[in-house]
Amino acid sequence: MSGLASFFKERSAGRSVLFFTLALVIFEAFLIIGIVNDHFWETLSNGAMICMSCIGVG
Amino acid sequence: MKRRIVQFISFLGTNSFLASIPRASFYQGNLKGVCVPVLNCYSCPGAWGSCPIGALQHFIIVRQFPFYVLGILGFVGVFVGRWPCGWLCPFGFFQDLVYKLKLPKFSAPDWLRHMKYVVLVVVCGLIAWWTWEPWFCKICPAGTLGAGLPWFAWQLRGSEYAEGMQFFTKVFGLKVVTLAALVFLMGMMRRPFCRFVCPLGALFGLSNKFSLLQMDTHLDDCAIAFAKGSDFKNCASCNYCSADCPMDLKVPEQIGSVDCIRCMNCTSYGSVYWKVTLGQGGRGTARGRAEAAAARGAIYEAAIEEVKTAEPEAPDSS
Repeated sequence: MSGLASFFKERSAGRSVLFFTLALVIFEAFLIIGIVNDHFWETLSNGAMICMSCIGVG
Repeated sequence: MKRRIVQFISFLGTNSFLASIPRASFYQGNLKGVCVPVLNCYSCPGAWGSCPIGALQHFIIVRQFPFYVLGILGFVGVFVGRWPCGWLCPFGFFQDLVYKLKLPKFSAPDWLRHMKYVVLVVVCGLIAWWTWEPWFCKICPAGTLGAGLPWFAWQLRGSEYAEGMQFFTKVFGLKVVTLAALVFLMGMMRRPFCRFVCPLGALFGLSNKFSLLQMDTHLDDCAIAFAKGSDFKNCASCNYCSADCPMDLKVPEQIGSVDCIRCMNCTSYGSVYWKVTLGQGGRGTARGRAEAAAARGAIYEAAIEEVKTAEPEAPDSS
């Protein structure tokens, strides 16, 4: 147990590898989920979310 | 100088859809779905991509979890951390240039750095959720500079003056006043927007903690400490590296800070390295070592010369 506790407390190469891998997997999954989402293709990808009132003109 | 060139190329690259400019319109093709990892308004006349903060608010307004925006920012962040802020962001580039103006220089209280998290959560999150409006976009100075002002100029160009001025709405007035105040501040302090306001920097900064690109210090290599006759093990507290930090960080102590934009200015003093590795240990990459060694050679000579003539005066960190 103390070994596991020190793994998370101390800044070690093992901890960094774990955090980096976890972050990479999570964000890649987010990216894939985001791109396959219908909403992405309906709005973001054709610029439909652009609003001129947001930039204060018109 | 190398960074200025990259920043300039990035500015041109993110605003390279020049075909829309003569038509006074903007690009609305599929590439607009790509969030660029910098604060560049999607309504900028030449922009081919989207601003991630605008897209984030859009997802919040339509009540969808922003998987795509967090995914694209996180994917960039796990590799390079906040590096795009220092090297790619056009608004950061603009702030760097304005700071070069000969104006009195000030430093701001350090606690103001936390304000960007409030902006991220309250303005981009809660207020967008409650009001169904992207309020950060409505006050964003980067949007005013890159999109609002060019669009307003177009409205004036194509119409009578009085007719064009009707586009000067209250929101636009608020944006112009905000931008003017910020430009004034930019001349007097380093990157005030990035340090205190930018919600994108707040998001990116979190990835500094686990990104592949890391900064590290080896104080025993500090050229200034050597020139001042230090024992090679301790920081000489000369503030040379801190005085060169565009984010006003105290470099040796705050080397892994979420506010570090990986600009590499501090690597010119020999004691700070960039490294592409995980965890502590090691001496950085061969390239990092070579760059620092080259810089050390030049700085040794300059610093030793300075020490010979007089005790070097620590630059004012403010």
